[in-house]
Amino acid sequence: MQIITSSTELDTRSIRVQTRKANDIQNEQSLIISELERSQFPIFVRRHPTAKLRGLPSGIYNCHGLTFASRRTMVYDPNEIWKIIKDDNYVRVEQIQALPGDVVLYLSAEGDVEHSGIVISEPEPHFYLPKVWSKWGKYYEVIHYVNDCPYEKSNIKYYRIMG
Amino acid sequence: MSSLLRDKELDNLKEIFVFANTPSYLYKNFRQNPAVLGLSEKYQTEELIGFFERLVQSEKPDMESLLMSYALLFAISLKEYAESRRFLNGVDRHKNLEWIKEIREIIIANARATTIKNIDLNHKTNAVPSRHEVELTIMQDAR
Repeated sequence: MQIITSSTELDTRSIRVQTRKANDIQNEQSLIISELERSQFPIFVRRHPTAKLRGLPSGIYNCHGLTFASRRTMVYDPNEIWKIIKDDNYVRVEQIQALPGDVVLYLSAEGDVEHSGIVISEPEPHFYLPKVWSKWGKYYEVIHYVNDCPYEKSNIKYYRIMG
Repeated sequence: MSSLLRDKELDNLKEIFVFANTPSYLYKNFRQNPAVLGLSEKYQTEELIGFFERLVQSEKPDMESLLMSYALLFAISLKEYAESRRFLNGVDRHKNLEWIKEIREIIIANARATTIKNIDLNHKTNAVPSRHEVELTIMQDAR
């Protein structure tokens, strides 16, 4: 993967990421999580006790980087997410039909794609809530129920690649 | 400068900052945060801009300074756009703030949208005929 830009101000860089249709995806890696940032993380562990953490915190990739860019970089522009959904042939599925491997988008009323993740379990009986594998910003990767995260939950949509 | 906010308030801002996947998430959640709303209510636009400009001088800001910079920026964004327009136009020169270019665009786009809505509301208010206009219409109809 080719590094195409660098910026000394924030210690960030971009890599080349493309959709299936060879359209470039704007992205950025944040190379440093300061010790101060890291020292705050135990607070969040206490605040979100049901979140099952995996790996280590990283600024290299965010939720969209996990869901759509193989954990190699951060994608933060919602337009880029919709470009991927369109170019990569994702189609909407209902929550009750969700299967492991589908992706879930958390949409805000303002049109932002606040969060995304990968479905890892079928919706469980009674509440029909699947479990999701996602990443919370610069924090850890997290295993959580779809409705158990600090993002807008009133407009959650599921997508599946169809061929 | 971080003494403008209490530790608990900073903790809440830390969570927003660390969990943010997008600039829009920062914009929405910082502006809804009571501490940021409090800053906007307590200080004049010029004072907030002064605090912000002093804070962002540091090349390697610590976490608290970084959070305060965002808190001040979003507090300024809650003020009248006419008072902050000049500041906002040049704020993306502070490249040690992550997503500053995108945040600036979001703030300005939303401020402009709000200004246009305000004009529309005024227009609707003006569209209601004054008592003089009503009387004039009645007189014209009577002729």
